[in-house]
Amino acid sequence: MAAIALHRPGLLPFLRQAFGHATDGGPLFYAWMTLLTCIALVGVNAWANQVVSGMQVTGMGDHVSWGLYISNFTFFVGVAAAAVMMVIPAYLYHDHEMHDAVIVGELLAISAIIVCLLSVTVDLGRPDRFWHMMPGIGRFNWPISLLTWDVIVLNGYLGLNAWICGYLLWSRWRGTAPSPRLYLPFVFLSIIWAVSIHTVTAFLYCGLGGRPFWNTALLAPRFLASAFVAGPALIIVVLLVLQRLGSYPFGDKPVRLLLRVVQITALINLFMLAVECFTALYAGSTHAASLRYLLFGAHGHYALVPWMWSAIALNVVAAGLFLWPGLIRRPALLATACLMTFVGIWIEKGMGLVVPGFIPSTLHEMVEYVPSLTEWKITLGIVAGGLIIYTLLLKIALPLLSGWTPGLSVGVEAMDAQHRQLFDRLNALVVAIRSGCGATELDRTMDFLDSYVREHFADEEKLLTDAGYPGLEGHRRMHAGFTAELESVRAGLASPQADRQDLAERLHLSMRDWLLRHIQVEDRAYGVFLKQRLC
Amino acid sequence: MSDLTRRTVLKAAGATLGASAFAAAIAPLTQWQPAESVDEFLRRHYKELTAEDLAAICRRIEADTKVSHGIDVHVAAPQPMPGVQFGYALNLSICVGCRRCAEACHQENNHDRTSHNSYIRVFELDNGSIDLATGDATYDHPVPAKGKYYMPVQCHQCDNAPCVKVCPVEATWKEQDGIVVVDYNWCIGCRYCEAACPYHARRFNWKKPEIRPEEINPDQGYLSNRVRPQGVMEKCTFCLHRTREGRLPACLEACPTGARVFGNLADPNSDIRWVLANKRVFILKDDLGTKPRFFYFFDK
Repeated sequence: MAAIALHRPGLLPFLRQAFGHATDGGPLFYAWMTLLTCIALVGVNAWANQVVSGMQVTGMGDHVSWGLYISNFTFFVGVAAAAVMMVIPAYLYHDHEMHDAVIVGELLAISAIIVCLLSVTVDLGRPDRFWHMMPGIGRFNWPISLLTWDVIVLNGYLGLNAWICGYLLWSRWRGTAPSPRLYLPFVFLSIIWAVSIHTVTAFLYCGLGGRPFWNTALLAPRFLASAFVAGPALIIVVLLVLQRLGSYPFGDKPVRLLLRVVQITALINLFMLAVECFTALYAGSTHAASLRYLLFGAHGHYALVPWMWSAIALNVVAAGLFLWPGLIRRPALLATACLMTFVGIWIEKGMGLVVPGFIPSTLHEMVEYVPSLTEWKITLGIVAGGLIIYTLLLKIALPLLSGWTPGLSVGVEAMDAQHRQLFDRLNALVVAIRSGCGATELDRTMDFLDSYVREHFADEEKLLTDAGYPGLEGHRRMHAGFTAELESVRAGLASPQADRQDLAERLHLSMRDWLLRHIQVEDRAYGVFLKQRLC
Repeated sequence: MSDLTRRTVLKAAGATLGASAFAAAIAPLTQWQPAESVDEFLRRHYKELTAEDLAAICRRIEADTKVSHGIDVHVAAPQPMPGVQFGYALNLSICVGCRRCAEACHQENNHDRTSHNSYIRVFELDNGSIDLATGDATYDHPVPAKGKYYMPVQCHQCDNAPCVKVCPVEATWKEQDGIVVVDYNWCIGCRYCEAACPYHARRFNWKKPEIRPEEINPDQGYLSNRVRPQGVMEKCTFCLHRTREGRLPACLEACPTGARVFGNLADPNSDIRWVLANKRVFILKDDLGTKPRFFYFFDK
């Protein structure tokens, strides 16, 4: 007799459901996607015109030969690298709560790398010849050219994160435990790799002896420090928005942890900027010419001065706000502080780093740079494209991580439907507690879950009694344990000094995980038993 | 079910609308005419070409120029001569800043006329200082001006060339005779070399160069002065289409004061070797270790 096994869903249905999840949503979702699509299309159109007319449509020239595109590229490399600030606690310190949230960072890394690759592509004078860089058919000047290193590390980082996320989601969909052998080595590799993408990008600049402004060993550490401010700041904003939208049935511990990260990194970043300024300005050598131009203007040229001081102000104010203990209880202010430093670092690392490297020129000519409308359109289009990808990935991943998936099927349709409901109602309760809604609404959501749990357990136990399932007693005890746990959460919620966040964490960390494992193991066991009896 | 169908129809409509909007957005690309033919587009790197391949490519460029500009040009691919190492020296004591070298470069190398591009920038400096920060390359008055001296800057054909190191596709390299060249048909236009060059010697074709057919210099080199495509880098090649055939660079021939000395560094009897042995010679940005083949000297 062939071994009886329950059906495991395949790749095609997985992709079909992922596509369904990604394209289904409420009016807000469709409005958001339409807006992003419009911006992206304006960018695509501007780029098509740039390809035809040449780079003359940009504000660049032979003196300032890199501008907004490369600035944006440099900045988003940092955003991508910052996912590591969630990966490290999740995997190295086994922070359980980060384990669920880490995918928000990893998916951001994927989207940010795509933004980087697009930003470099639109900066090419001959995008039709990009294949000249491909080993084998082109000439890949590795290891001499740092740009070839950057190509390797960026694509490698993209591949690593795509594999890790894809494999974990696929396992979750199939209802199987992911094999550590197939993803843990890649996770640890991705940690080192995250540092490498930013170091290599810094080396692109600091390896150029002819550009004293960039030719400093502090550049790579500065890049990392600023990346670990801007990246986590953005992830905090994303988590806050997801919580607000009710589409994030996870805890807020990741936000607390990331806030602790930016408290430190924001100060380190400012410190390094100060060190850089002191070293160049105090000595007063001609090497400080670019920095002087950036901070104070030079020879009647001041284009970057307002940008740079805005960046410094934004970063200083944000760093101060991060240190204020009350910030965590004020999500709107927290998000504002994060966005301030995000913009501050975007300026500091983009316009404030790439452009002044060219001013004054290597022959000390003062030629300024202002991005053209085309450059703004293309840059915003690329960022919108990145946001489209990020939105879609999150829409696929979050329901998969927190809800029922076909891989959890026990082969009994009625039970599958009830299991799906259980996840949905549990998640609804988590979201309700987190959103800080009133006692009556909370009570209602609790009742909604509680009654359903009892109903489902009763149905399931009746099914097993009728079938003469030998493991019934043990199964019943497990159900009783879960009901008791739920009872204690209810009691906790009723008490006036309840720590709601703590209860929410218990719900989604221990109870949802229990449910998941219970269905994966015990329920599937009776599924196999029932199927065997039918044969 | 009906809700599901409605949703599917709406999604399909949205997707169709998005796809057509995308097609409309990239429509300008249909007007794009990259300079080369399919054969040229798919060809191998310069260093992998045989002499026949190279000759065929030169004929193709001649034919293309006939179509695009309606004129007959001759495109050659002269190779480095054995035993020749080119070097250039410039006498700052007698340069008067007339910029005829820059103008000759402009004509000889078929530069874009609208930007008045040239591979040479001439700086006017104050006597008593050699600090380029006090210099001016945009002066517009009779020369030589009182209290000033002049310093033309062009590609230094460095032996340790930062521009060659950084190129991700080996579209630029140093030839046997010391000249740093760009293959305009291989360059992807990333401009990393332009950022790397400490002498502002590289130029980018921000648009398709505009030049009237009757002004085109028909005596062209594949790696030097042929009309460049849009979106690629270019640079001074010591006029290799001339110098590899025993002639002098156009900038030297145009100089009215004799400030420029060009020759073979490997020949102990050459003028350039005499200058290096007998004059007070210096190189620009010595500290960067670029090892230029372009020297400046004073003789009074």
